[in-house]
Amino acid sequence: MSPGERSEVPAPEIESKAAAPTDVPVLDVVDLTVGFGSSTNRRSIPLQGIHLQVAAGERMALVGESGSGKSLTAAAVLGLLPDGAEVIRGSVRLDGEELIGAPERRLRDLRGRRMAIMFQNPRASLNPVLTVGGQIAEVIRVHGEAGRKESWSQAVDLLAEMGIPNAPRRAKDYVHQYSGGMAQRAALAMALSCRPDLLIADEPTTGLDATLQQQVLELVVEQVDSRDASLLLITHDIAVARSHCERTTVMYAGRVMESGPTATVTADPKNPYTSALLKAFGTVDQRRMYAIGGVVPTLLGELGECAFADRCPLAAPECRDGVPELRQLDDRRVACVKA
Amino acid sequence: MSVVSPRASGSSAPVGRRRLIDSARSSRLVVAVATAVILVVALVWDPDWRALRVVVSVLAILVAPAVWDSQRRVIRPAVAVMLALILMALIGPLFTRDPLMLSVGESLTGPSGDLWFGTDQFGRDIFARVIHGARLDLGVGFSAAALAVIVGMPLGALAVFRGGLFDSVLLRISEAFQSFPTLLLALGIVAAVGPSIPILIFIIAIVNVPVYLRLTRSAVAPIVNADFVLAARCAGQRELTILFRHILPNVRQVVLAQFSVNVAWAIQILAALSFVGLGVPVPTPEWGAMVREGYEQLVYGRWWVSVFPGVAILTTILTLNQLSDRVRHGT
Repeated sequence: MSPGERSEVPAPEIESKAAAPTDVPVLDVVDLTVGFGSSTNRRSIPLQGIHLQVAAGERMALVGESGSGKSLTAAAVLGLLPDGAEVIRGSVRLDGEELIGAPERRLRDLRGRRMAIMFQNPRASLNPVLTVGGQIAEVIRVHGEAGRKESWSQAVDLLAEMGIPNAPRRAKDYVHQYSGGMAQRAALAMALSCRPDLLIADEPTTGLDATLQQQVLELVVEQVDSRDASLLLITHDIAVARSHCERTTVMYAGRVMESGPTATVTADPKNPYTSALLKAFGTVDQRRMYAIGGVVPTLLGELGECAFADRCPLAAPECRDGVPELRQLDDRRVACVKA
Repeated sequence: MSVVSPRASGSSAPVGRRRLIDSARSSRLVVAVATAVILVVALVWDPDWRALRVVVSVLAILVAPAVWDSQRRVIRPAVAVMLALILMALIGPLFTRDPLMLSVGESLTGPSGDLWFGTDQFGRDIFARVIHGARLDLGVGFSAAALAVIVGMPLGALAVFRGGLFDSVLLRISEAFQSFPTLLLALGIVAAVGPSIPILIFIIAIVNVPVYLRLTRSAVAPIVNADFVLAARCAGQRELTILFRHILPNVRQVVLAQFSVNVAWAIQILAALSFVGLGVPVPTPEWGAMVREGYEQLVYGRWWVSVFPGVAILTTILTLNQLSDRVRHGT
């Protein structure tokens, strides 16, 4: 089957750059707050009021250092928070449909079909005792009417589309017979098998070597674009965000610090954390590596101040007066009183 | 000296190579489990062992390709002997004399060209009895172990999956069972309920369920939160599908290795029960019972009465242990 055989749904026309999404975003996360422990015995609050909008056909990067809550945000969107975590408040909407509090049956139906995810370690995310093609075919069967043969041939076609040579034969292989790059291609095929509206890629290239990273990222972008799907690319590499995503959201300590078109955010960061993060990546002519002083705050309770205040070069008394609001500033949103 | 280097051919093994476990895809696992269920159900109504023959044939077909090790280009002896034993149990009885036929004149004659294994004190043909005994011993062994797997494996996986109280209660119950010596527990139950073949199978299965429960539990625990399980969940699969399609196939290697050891145990338990007179009813040919009947004759130098069934037990158990080793090492 050729890609053209899939019915091409006309995408809502959003020419990414800077256009404020007027219609319903594919993913709309508002004030999402997630805590560990029960309401009487709160152990930590790793997500504190996340705001995140991904418009149809848009590629959004979610950038932040380790522990900033990027992956947890993805888990919350999918409704698969780890044991002990719960959504305290906020809303997650997929194409306008509220997911927080939605019945498990409905979520199960949406997962894989309307929103899909690919993980960091492709070898671990494919089952070692099932054939690669079989796993993809299974996902197709779970969400559609396709029979065994039909779903198998669809799986083979998908693998071929992802650039796996000799797909009809390789589909019968097990994941240990695949190389890392091929396994990630297979994981992408599985994630895209039911034409989701939203693909969440959780550090999809971290486990791959540098030459493959570029290839796989380009493949992800190309395949997502050709399906008119939206991409939420989770990465700690702001360079990846810069080269592959139209919009970027910067997270720090479970908060959104800044969000807007990648070009403006990286060229002219308004939040001191974003600039610090950009500086930390450095350039070739830099003499010393820049490091942000201080440590990430513990997230034991909801902070009543800017999370970055302790480490911020511009910190002022008013930064401690309350959590800075995520304010609209031209075409972006910034959570900083100084911006 | 072998001309073909096994290493060289091993590393470039063809994709679809057949190995004992790799070739047994989950569909076959389902077949095996289903036949085992049929067996247990049928045993209750089918004293003629017809169901057993069907089941054992299916099992034989399942493992038949594994006799040939295509990588090393040799026959796997354990698999071959096991298949021979199974075939012996299946069609052997067609070619022997009546194992129950008494013949007082021929009592206790030694092995000869006519009566290969000699006769016992009632003049019964020991060869015929050993062959017929295979049916019973293998049948009870396999079905008891299968029953234990069918109950123990899902329970063990569920214990991890559910966790909490369910897990602890299951573990305490299995500990209660395991705190008795296996044979003593079996002895007690048989003494209370009375010996019959379905009951023997049931008892042997019961004492083995905790083994599978714990084994599966410990094998599932490290992979229950593996990325591929999360991936399956993210793909919108149902929890039960995840358990049976994605988790259990990953632990079948350990469980299968345990299975063949377990069949050997089951035969040992049956033989031991028969030895003390609580196994199968008297005239039925059963290896353990035959060893007991014959051991008084040993002092008079009539070794053949108990040695031949003893060798049968030994061969079967050794073969099964060997088989389990192979499964564990995946060869």
